[in-house]
Amino acid sequence: MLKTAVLPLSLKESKQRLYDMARCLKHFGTETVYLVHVMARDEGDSPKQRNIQQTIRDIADSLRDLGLYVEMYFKTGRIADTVCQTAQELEADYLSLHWRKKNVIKQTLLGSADADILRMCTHPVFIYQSGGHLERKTNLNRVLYATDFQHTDSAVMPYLQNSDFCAEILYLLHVGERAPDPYAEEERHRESMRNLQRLAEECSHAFTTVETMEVTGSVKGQIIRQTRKKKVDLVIVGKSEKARPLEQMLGSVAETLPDRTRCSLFVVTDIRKG
Amino acid sequence: MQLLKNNIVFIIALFIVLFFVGIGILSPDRLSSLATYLQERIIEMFGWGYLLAAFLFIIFNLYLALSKYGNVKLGKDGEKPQYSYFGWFSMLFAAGMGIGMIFWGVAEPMSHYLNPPEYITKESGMAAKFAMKYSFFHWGIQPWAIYIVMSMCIAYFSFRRGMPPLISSCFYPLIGERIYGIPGYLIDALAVFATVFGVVTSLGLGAMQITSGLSTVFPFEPTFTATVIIICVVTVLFLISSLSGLDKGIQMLSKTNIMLALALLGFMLIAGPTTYILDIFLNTIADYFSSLFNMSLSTNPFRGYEWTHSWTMFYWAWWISWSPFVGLFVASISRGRTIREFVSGALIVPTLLTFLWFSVFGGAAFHVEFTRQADLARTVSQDVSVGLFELYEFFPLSIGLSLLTVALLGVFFITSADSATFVLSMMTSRGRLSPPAAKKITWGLIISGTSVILLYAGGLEALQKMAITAALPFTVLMLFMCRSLNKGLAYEFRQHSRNPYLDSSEEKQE
Repeated sequence: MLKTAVLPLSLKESKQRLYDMARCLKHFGTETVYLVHVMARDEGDSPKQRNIQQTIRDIADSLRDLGLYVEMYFKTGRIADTVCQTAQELEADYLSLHWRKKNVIKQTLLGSADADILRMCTHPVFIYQSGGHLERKTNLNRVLYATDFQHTDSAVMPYLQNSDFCAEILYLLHVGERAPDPYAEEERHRESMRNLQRLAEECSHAFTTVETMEVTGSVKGQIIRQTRKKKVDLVIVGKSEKARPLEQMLGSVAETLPDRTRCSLFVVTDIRKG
Repeated sequence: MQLLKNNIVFIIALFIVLFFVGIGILSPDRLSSLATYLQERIIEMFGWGYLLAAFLFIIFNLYLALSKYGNVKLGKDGEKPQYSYFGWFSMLFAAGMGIGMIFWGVAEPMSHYLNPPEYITKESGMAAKFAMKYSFFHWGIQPWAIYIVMSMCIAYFSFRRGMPPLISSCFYPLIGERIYGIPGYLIDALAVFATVFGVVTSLGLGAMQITSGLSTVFPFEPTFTATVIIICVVTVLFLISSLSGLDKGIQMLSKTNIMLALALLGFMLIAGPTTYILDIFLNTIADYFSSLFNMSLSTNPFRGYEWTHSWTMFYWAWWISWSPFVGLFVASISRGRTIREFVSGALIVPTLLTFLWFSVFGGAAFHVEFTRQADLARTVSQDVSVGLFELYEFFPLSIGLSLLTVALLGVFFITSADSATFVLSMMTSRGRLSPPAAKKITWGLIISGTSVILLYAGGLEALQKMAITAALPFTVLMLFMCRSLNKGLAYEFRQHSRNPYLDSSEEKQE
């Protein structure tokens, strides 16, 4: 399910980090990587253009050394639109972003191409974060899937069932909203645990251990807290196209998580609009 | 240990109350300067917050009433309201503001007429128009919106979600089990503190008004002894009413009250300048609604700043500090009504009745002031409590009207003290709807005893200001209560237990 990846390059990434990220992709079972570089305008055969092409060729060669099949694409236009469109044209399985955190002011004033891609793309997006646990090892050990028990489960579960992430431990986390009274809360907790247990059974064959966790509070805050607490390597979240008005303005949990956690993320979009 | 835990709120609240009352007795000046400083600083710094919060409460109430949540019952599904509309409105009115309206029905329009903000000429037509509009505003939709938020939250979490009728119960969706710990105890103790201080000052000041009212009819001096006797009589009566339970005592008294009030209102409307009053009523309603948004959010930083602080913001703080008491009481009589019914009933009917009351009494006072050069405004400025009795001098059957008003005041006092005793006992008995008689008697005697002592030693108004300071934490708490109620209601409409993914895979298997 994760055979082909589109890897947008801004050329601000360090080669070592790109190499580390490619190793992760390989770990997921990826065989083909499409390197996509988007320029604002076509500069023809200018020295700058030749320079860029040479850099990307070097990157492609280093990725080929890992055993990946690599193709390069040079496009012009608006970065986010072009990357998403290319992924669609190439029928890629997912996108892989080398996320660079930007502070609020920078992001507000200058925007972030990565954030735009994540917001607009309907393909699954792998967000590689340098400095996270993944960087220090070659294998994924702990994966956490934060489920909201909604339709996004149907988009994410196939990846967990297919053992695409080849991890040892899977944590299934549900962050619920506390019920209005203690009795209803007990009921809600019991029901959530039952749902988690059923999800755990469905993907138990793909992991050595599957643990379930049910907590209450802020979804974003709890995902970050549990990720840190359990020393998770990769967080998997679903993203719904049917966002609430506040989420549309401030960004959904999946869209805001990359800037709040040091962990790598895999965001799967549920494209049904309800 | 269990006994201590069950009575922890009672102990904390009693300690706080006795501490401040002690200062009020031993050093009333110190309490007064502290209370004045606190109240002025709070209004100066957070007055804008009161205005904004009160406005948000209106929006929140309308949102709930008009949304899908409007059909949610403040009780179990299928449950019927415990009281008839007449009984419910009577009790709403009696607990909410009945007594204040008698006190301020003439006095407030006259005060604004004589002392409007600096940009309006005193004793002018403009001042009269302004006086009526702001009297409507201070006693209109906002106070009821504040009460509704508090009572709706309590009623929802108590009667629909099966939790004890306590203010702390409303915070379960936000802080969970911690409502049974220190945060919950502090919230409930704060509510008891605000209620005791509010009721003590109301009882003391109200007893003084009854004394001065009686002294205009009967030949005696309104001395301290006379006031003490009145407090004692009121205490005995409200304790009897309180011990006979909510169903009998308060309901009967409230119905009597509303009948007396309507009789008085009807007489004044017919015997007074009817057309003039109705003109004022319609004109002020138009003024009120056309400038409601403007008045609601005007902190007036450029002109009329002081006036807004000393009237509007003071009122908002007062209503908020009263809201735990009124909220708990109104919640306890509203079981079985839907949110839509509750909001529309409590927002429209008492507000319209209040508008009519102010139009009749304020309008009659203006008529007397303009046509007979009565100088009523100046009399009121010297002693607010005599305004109504002075007005009666220009009406037929003035002695009868004064006696009827004193009776009304007395019954309103008994009702307020009765419901306060009930609410205090309930809050300090972990939300028992039938609190023990001993606790009712204890609170009843504490309220009356403190009123008498503070009337003697001074410091009654200082205590009132202390009660108003509680409005600041309560404003914040009430905003969180709105959030909590919204979460609770949203939970009802969300199918938590269902998982579309698992459900569909189950269906496929079948």
